[in-house]
Order: sequence, then structure tokens, then C-alpha cells
Amino acid sequence: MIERLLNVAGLVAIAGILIAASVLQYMWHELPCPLCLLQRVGFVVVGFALMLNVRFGPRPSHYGLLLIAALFGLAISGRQVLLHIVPGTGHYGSAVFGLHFYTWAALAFLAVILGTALMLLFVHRPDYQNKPLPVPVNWLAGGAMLLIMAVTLFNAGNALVECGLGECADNPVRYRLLEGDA
Amino acid sequence: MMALLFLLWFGAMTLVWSGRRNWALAAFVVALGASALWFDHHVTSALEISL
Repeated sequence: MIERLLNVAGLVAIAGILIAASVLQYMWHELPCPLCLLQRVGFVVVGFALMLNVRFGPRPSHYGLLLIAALFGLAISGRQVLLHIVPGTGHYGSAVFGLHFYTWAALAFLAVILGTALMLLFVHRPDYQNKPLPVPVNWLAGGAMLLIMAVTLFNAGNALVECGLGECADNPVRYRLLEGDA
Repeated sequence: MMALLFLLWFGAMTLVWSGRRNWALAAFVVALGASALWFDHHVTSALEISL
């Protein structure tokens, strides 16, 4: 029970990260770069793996997918951190509490890896061998799943407006679709 | 293209929501492969520029 609740909390946290990134994007008029958008995809992948735990019950295979998702996100955010780690190479976007988005993203993906390891260490479920079937979801779990799905759909629309149907600009400064340049 | 990636993941999530686990796992493989290829494309194109 507590394990499932922790997965729901993780789902809400991931949705919160994506919502915060979108709110700051529009508040500060800073468009996400291609790597920034890919990091959002990384959070969506983490959300997908957490959804599996919420919908079908926690299982080691779902935690395995969660680790793969977090490693994928860490590869992207780590790549962007390394792009700017040498003094004088600049940065992308504004800092939040002293760190840039990609650094926060790298820390968040590391936290997902650590959290997954702890879940695998301390949680014991004897029925792992049972066939994974959908489990009943309460309003909290259902709401969390709908929230992450809504945020994912919003990000699809956001990426379409920003990049159009082609490739995103390396340093985007305007929304392509709104200016008829898709 | 980036919008398509998000849509792929949204589709995979819809499969989880509807309780189709095996289809959702298949969608995970496809969507993660597409995401990784797109990431690789960005890294490779950036390397070509800097080299």
C-alpha cells in the first residue's frame, strides 16, 4: 500500500516538474532548447514507468524500466551540463535557486535512480510471480495518471507551436508555428 | 518531430491507462528507441559542427 502511494507521489512530483518548467517558460519568455525538450521527454518516460507501477501494481520489471528511463534522462541532462561545464562556455536560460534547469534535471534523474534503488532494497512483495493484471485505482492514483497524461499532451502541443513540424532551432527565440514559419 | 515524440509517449501512457500492459511495453520499446535516436541525432550533428 505504502509502495503504491510512493509511486503516486513520484508521479505527481514528475508532473510538478514538467508543469514548473512550462510555467517558467511562459513567465520568463525563455523557449526550451532541443536538449531541454528531450529532458522533458526523459521526465515523461519516468512518468510512464511510474504509471505502470500505479496501474498494474509495483513489480521489479517496472522498476527496471524506471531505471532505464532515469538513465536516459541523465544522459541528456548530463550532456547539456558537460556542454557548459568549462568556464567561459556560457549557459542556457536563467538559473533557478543558483542552478540551471539542466543541472536540476540531472539531480532529479539521479534522485529517481536513488529512490528506485531504495524501493528495490526495502520493499518486499511476495506475489511478484503472479500475472500482472490491472489493479483498481482510487481517485488519487487515477488523478495522478490523468495529470501526467495531460501534461504530456500539453508538451506535445508546446513543442509543435515552438518547433513546427521540422527540427527545433538550437537557440530558439520565437514560436515558429505562431509566426507561420513551420 | 519533437511533438511526435511526446505524442508517442502519450499513446504509450494511454495503453497503460486502459490496462493493456503488453501493448504498453511494446510501445515503451518503440518510443524509447525513437527518443534515443533523436537524442543521438542531436549529439551527432553537434559533434559534426565542432569537429
